[in-house]
Amino acid sequence: MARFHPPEDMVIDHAVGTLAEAQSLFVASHVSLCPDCRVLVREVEEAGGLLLHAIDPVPVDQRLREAVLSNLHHVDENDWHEARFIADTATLRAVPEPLRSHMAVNLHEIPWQRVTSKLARYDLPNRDPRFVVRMLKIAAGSRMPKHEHGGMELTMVLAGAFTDDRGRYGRGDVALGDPSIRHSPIAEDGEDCLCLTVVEGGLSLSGPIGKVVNLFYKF
Amino acid sequence: MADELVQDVMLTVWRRAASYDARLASVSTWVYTIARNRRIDVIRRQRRVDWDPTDPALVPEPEPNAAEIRLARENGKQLNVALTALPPEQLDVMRRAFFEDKSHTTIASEMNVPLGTVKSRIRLALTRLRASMEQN
Repeated sequence: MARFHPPEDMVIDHAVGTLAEAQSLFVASHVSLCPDCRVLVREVEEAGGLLLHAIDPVPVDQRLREAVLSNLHHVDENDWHEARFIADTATLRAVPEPLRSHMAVNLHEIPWQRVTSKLARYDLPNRDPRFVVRMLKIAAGSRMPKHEHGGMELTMVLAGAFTDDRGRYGRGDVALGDPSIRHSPIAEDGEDCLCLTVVEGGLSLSGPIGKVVNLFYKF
Repeated sequence: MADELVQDVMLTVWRRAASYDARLASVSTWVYTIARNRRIDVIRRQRRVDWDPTDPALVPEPEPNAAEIRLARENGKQLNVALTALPPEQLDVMRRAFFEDKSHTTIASEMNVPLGTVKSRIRLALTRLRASMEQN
């Protein structure tokens, strides 16, 4: 059971549908791993149903009414078959939807880009230039380079675990970073730590090694 | 655009009617989620990404019935009572969030109140709606 959650207003914005797609991908994937947040999402959707139900009906014009009726038997194939990525067992176990279908690649096939000998990253498709959506793999037992944030950074553990000054983050746990925080999490021994991270406005490494890395990578 | 969305939602409801599961949600909640998703797809030209109740990676509820912790079934009269009983400032925030496609942050700057105030108004409204539904 996840102990660290995304901010509640983000979960509510996701349920209402006003959260940016990149952040919704993150929140929805957490919701798959977190029954507590699922209850909150359901409550918000129920409230939406209540509000919808309470609106006075508005008549539609004849043309629209006929358009709807004449299309009732037109079957839209895309409507029924949402694209779902067929993953191998290891990927199926570690990566929840909707992230799994968004990745559309098995874990062992990810073309990781090495950032340091202990850290690899893989940028996921994302059309929204305000965010970077990225998988991170931190080698078991190693410390992630100190880094600073341009904007809000959300990190969720999918496999393994890491610890920072706020506690231990296991599967489904969400760590929040903002511009005022410089943190350097340490991955637990035993298993590489696999994370999904969504960063608003980019992220830069600090410290001597980090500064060098920044020259080569827009991190 | 509004006509296109109305048509889209009504046809989606019609085509997916067979997949509606009364154990998971009331009809109005189900219709609401369809309208929300189509709004995101059609108007905002983004893609609705959501969790999947059949996902094998899903972490299940600790107890079988925890999933049932939700608002009781609605009924027209009780519902209107619950909604009209909300303080106007809470109802206002709810309408902006649910019908005007506005995030907490946008609502806060529009109403010129702190983000925390918007958060707590939405939270209070959800709590009140839940409480009045449970009473019934």
